[in-house]
Amino acid sequence: MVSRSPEVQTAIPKGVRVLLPEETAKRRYIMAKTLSVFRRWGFQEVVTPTFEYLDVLSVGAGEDQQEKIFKFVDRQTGQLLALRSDLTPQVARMVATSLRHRPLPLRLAYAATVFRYQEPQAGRQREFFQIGVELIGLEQPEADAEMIAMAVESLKELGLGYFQIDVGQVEFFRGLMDAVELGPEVRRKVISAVRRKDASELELLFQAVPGDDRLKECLIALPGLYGGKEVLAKAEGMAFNQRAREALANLRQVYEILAFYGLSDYLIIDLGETYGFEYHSGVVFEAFTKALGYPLSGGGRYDDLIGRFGYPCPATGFAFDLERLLWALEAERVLPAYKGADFLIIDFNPDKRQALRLARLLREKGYSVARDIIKRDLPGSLAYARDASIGRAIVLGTAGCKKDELILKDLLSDREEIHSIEGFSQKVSSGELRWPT
Amino acid sequence: MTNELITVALPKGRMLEDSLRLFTVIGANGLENLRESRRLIWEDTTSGLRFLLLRGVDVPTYVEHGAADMGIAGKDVLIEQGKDVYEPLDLGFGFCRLVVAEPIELQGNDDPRAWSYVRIATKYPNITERHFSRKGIQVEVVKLYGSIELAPMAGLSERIVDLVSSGKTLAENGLVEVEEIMKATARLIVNRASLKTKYRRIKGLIDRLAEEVRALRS
Repeated sequence: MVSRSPEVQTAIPKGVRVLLPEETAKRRYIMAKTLSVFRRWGFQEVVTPTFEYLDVLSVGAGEDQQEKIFKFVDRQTGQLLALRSDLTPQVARMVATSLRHRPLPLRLAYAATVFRYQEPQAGRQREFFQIGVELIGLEQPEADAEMIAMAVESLKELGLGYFQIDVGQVEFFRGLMDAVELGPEVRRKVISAVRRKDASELELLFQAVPGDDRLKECLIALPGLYGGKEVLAKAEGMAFNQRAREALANLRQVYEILAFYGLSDYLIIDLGETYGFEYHSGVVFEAFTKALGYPLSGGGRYDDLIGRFGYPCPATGFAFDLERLLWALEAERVLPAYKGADFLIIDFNPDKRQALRLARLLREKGYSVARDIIKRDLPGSLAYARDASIGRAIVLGTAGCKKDELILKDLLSDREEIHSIEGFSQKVSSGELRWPT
Repeated sequence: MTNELITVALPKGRMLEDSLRLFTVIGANGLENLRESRRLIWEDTTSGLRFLLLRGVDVPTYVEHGAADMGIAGKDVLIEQGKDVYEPLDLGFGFCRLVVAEPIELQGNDDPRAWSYVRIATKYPNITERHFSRKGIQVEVVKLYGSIELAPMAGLSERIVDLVSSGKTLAENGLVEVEEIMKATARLIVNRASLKTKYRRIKGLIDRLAEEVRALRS
């Protein structure tokens, strides 16, 4: 047994959060908007388990990702279990098993919490929420373009004014690395330096390595290979082998499709970007805004991952980080103001039937209606309604109106109207009286 | 969007002079304000740059979160903190070394190859632990924030891991270097989102700074 201190236990562990109504409403709003974009593009929502066998979750995870997985032991089998740290391997497994016999392509969406054991900091908790999609069974550049176009549309739909999609192709860098012979230690250092865009260190590293000088120069120049469309032309002279040439041609195709969609202003290209997961295998992309120091989303092609579950099948996908979307939207002040219930019914009559009828009628019409059940005076009830951001109050059985009348009070403007209960009900039923929800 | 401000985080202390000189050379005006007054922020509208004066260890944090678009930080601090930032340029100045040191009297009959357990006082717990664990040596780290050289004398630890530039401070405190862990210089660091969303200006600045650094070297 855990020993208990006599104090009340209210502590919250590092890296998780409780969300109050106001904060929850904002997140629901973002989630609903994003999922509705996904639906409009034909994606169907799926749910994956919160925990799994570690072996499943570690498929395709690099060493640094593996370290961040929350692990625990299955009491029955002694096997290692893990909290999901990434949805993509789970969806990949789902595709390779239960969905295997459905015709391709599959368009799947999810909204779920993800857990990573990392130092909690601004912009990254240990439990966080991802909203994402996986497009399965297509190897065409149109599929990559579809992902990027959906990311753009989602961000526009959410009202974000300024953002950029950073597009890379991981095979380009891998191609260049094939062309140069490096020991494992130097190789690791080169990858780390490219990731940090550390051209100075690359220069030092390649001084000590034999090989084609032109190739080495290209690898040193790689961190600077970002910008607009001109990067594609610049990279042309650096595509040393088949693998790099194919990667570049593929990226160009994706770029051209997106330009055709009219989205080229949103794009920047970065061929030196090696971020993403170990399982990525083609075009990768992240969304950035100026208000936030880290990406809002990440994703890209992973043609070999589903195959590791026994069903070779190309795929691409991406996910937004809900918390970061929220930050970006708050920085641009484009989130709608928080609203509590639409109505609070305050009833001073001993017989509550009229109040219940009104509540039912309004709810049937789609309004949210709360009843003030506590006995208190009218100013007390109104103060409560304002505090809970409720839009309007309906007051029955008070001195201000007759027995068969009600007072409708708009809590924002303080305007009051007196209606007969009968007439009010009819007008609500017929839709003559309507309010924005 | 060409006139939007780029925020640059500069470290107080030994790298400040060179940092100010470098940005002055590439066209920032009025940087002496940061040196001579107690100002912590300086905005130069002509060059479109805004400077923040911070403790060196805080620079990577400001840059990682995007509170500053770019900054100058020692390689020692970057390795210690492992922040997710770009490091496009070795600025060449601020050279120093991170070393293991111990009291002279301990050194006489000491062989670093035979260590199995050490107690170390340092500002760099991560680097220290990594360094010794790579060699299979157990280490107990005492994290301090300053005056590391006092720790052996006061009996807090036998040895220290600290930065040295000339070695004078070590000698004054009766310490000698036993091992070098790494060499460090000042680096230009850049926030990931800034590099992507403001790439024209940021790239221009990196290129200008690289030119100056190259000119200074040759």
